[in-house]
Amino acid sequence: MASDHALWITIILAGAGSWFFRALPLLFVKTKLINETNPYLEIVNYCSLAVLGSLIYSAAFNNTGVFEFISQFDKLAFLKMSIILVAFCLSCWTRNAVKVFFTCFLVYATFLFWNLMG
Amino acid sequence: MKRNAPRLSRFFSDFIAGAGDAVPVAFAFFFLFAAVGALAKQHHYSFLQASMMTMLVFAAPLQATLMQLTGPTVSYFGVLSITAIVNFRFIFMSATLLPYFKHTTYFKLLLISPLLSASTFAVSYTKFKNSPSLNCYYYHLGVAITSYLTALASTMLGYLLSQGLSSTYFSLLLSFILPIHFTALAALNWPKLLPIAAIFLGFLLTPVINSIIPNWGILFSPLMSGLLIFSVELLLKWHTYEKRSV
Repeated sequence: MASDHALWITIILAGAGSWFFRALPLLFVKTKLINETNPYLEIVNYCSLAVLGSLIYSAAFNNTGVFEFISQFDKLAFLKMSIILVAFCLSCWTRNAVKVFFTCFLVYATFLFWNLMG
Repeated sequence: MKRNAPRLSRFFSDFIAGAGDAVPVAFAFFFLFAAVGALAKQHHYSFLQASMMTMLVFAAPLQATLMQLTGPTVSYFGVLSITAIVNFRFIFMSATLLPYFKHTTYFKLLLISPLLSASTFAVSYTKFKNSPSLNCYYYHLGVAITSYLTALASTMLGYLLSQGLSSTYFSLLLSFILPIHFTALAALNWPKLLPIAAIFLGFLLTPVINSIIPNWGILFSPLMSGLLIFSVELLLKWHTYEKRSV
């Protein structure tokens, strides 16, 4: 186990690093980014939307590679994929992310409970 | 006092709207950060260290990774590298939100910048695009403060009640809260096809890049997807321009 001192330095370093990445655009390029006709802003917009897609995959499927994903594709992975699809379609249709979130979460929790108990 | 009344009511209405929309995030963070608190206890962090880590870092994936990596010796270079890899995405998110804070001072923005997370970004960005009359700063403050306080309280609770949080059912449930929430928010970009394509491509490219360079998908997939979709947009614009000029 690391010493108390080392853990505190780890926390401070990670905190400073996290703040740096959050504040970087603000500190260095604020005026350029605020100009809405800036083409870089378009790229950044698409990148940040792609981050959402990337996070959905990494959080749902443990950040696995494509071969691992295919070889480990089981009932649970199928359930997750189906819930993601259903959540997407429902949200497109209803335009209410909160309701869709709670509905899909309940469906997932029920199926998971059923699956584990069965 | 009377002159400040409309401003104050605007603050409350937009702040409360943000806090209300952050309920699913708070729900997800409750489980997520409770697990982080439990993990901190398991890895011999003190209560104060676990709470301070959430206060300063406020990024569950990074916190969990660091806790699992801090063995008998700690490489500070390693800590910084992992922070860079896991949190690089915040650059895109912060840069995307900036144009909506045109009239907000540097000082205020610096104060709220530590409260940015993938979830608060997703909620605020979706709302900003669809509500032109909103005071974005007050709204984002509502989303961010609700999420941040929930995360902090849950870390403390998770640390204190760590034994009840270790079941398989709980961990499987936990791992899927954020994907459902992000999917529901991402779908609000419909019917704009290019933003939806960017999200879809980010999802698809992550496992492909992970197969080539393990664990780097989260960094390179958004970059590649963003550039690809931007190129498609340019091509489409050029094609339309060509058609018109003919």
